[in-house]
Amino acid sequence: MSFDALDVSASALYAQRVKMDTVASNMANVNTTRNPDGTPGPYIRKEVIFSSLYSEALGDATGIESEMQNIDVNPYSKSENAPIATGVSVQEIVEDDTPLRKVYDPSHPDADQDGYVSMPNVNIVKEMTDMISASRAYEANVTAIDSTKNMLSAAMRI
Amino acid sequence: MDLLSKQSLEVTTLALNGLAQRHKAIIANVANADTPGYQRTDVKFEDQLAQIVDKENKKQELKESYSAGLKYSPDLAPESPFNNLNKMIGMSLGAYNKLNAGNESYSTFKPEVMNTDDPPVKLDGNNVNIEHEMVELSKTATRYTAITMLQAKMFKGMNRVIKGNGA
Repeated sequence: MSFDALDVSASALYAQRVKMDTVASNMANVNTTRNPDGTPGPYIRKEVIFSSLYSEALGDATGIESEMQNIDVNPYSKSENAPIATGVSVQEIVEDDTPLRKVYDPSHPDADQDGYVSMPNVNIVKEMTDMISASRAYEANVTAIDSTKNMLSAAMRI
Repeated sequence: MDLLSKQSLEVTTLALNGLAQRHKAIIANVANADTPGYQRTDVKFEDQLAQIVDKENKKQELKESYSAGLKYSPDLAPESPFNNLNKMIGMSLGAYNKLNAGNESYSTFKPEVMNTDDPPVKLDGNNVNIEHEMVELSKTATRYTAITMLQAKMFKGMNRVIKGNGA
């Protein structure tokens, strides 16, 4: 039993928090039609992409992963003696390329010549479900940390 | 139960190692529950451990039958301490040494980490079923705790023997 398992869960907590921040930002900007500098341009929905992490630094002491280098292991191989992932990382935050919402509002200062305003491609319902999913995943990892701590303290009582 | 027996301690320690390894795999699965394309990993060690226990038990039986043979052999003169040794050499010194040569089968224990071929639960190919992982997590933690309690009791027993019952 080592403390590595805590680092794995901690990386997931961080990743889910970044996702939560992104969701919050998307929801906050559901009606934003201008860039930070004031020029017209709707907010584009952001999405977080996770990737699994395989690293030597977090590898276990039994040597199963000791030869594994950072990431250049194929995590999808079905081979036996596969490496155990050592965490999750936020690989990138990408912009969602779904089309923008067109709202007819000729009185809006950012309306085009036909009277349509380009609104952000944020779907508030999707953001809500993403938020619940991130929150549940966060809780699952908190439970996992709790269980790791219980196991560690049980080992301490031997 | 033999209080100072090496086997129960060794075997429970191996079980703890295996369970800790499995715990790590489950933790990694939970952490990657939202990672696109991630394939869950699992750790197998029970069969291997059972084999080791079996091997050690057979070894122990053999050892006991040897020493029983030596002890109660009617043609051994009790006054000569070398008779035991001679008898031993005569019987099969090689086999006896082999029996006493450490418990190398314990060191062969290596939990097997593998990808399971569970069906994907998401469109991105991720096959982590979070409910399943949480159940496995609590199972593993409970078993781990149970075995640590067992080991604690073994040491407590030894302690009592050392200190005497009044302690």
